[in-house]
Amino acid sequence: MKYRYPLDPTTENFIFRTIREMQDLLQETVASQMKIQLPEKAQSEICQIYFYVAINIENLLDPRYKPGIDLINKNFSKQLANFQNDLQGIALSSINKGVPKAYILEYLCMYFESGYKKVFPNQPLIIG
Amino acid sequence: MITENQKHFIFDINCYYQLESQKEKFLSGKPIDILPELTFIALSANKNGQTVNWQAHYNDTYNRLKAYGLTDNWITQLKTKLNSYIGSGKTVDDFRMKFMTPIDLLISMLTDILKSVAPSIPKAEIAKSVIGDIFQKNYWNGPVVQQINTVRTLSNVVGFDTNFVIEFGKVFMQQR
Repeated sequence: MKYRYPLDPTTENFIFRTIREMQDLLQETVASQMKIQLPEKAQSEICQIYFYVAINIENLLDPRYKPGIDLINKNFSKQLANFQNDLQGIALSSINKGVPKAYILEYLCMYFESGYKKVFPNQPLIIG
Repeated sequence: MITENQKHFIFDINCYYQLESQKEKFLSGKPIDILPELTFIALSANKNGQTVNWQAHYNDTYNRLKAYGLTDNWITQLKTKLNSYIGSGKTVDDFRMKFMTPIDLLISMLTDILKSVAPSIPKAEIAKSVIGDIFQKNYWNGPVVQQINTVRTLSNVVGFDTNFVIEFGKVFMQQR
């Protein structure tokens, strides 16, 4: 996909690895805490929720994702804080490189979408 | 309109067979597959900072089914039909749909009929009579035929006998 502002490959790769790590951590956590194994669909949805919570737009999600939001807030607050810091850093550096402030949230979503599609190529985005 | 206890009754039945289908996993300490009612339990426990013990849940749910008034025969038939259903390669999710679709309809029929029956008639008797008619009488006409056929899938698709459905109806109606 061609984006309005090109994505930085290093950042793209960082976001991809972050999603992959989140996927692994999520599986480990639900297996140890909740004694369940999540199918790929649920993993993909929760990884998306993780990102939407990180950029503070979780209120836009359908109410059926509320348990996923609770799950992220309850179990991954430390990772969430780190991810939010990382995203802020990416946002600032992107603005310094000329990405307009008004476009920055969408730009971060492009990074997420790019990484997400590599980790979950067969799972749709819950908000398009 | 169904009562909170009736909702819990249905929820517990669903939990029970979902756990039954994964007994080997939780008994050997392995994580279980996510299924609707179990997900609710897992998320609720997680929200309260608790680790889920599925074996304890399984035992507690069995005890609650007994406390509602279900017999061991009923519970055994539920397990047997579930095992035979999933043994033919179908999923527990599919079993849930095949079980809950006619059950929801039956509940709706029973609660509708209850509105027009004198309160002095015991609810369990109403359930027994209505369900008996659904499965055994062939005088149904009009749009209700479709509903009757759907409820009958409990027998001709999932394999439960009429007494199983009657017992379900009686116990359901007795929950306040």
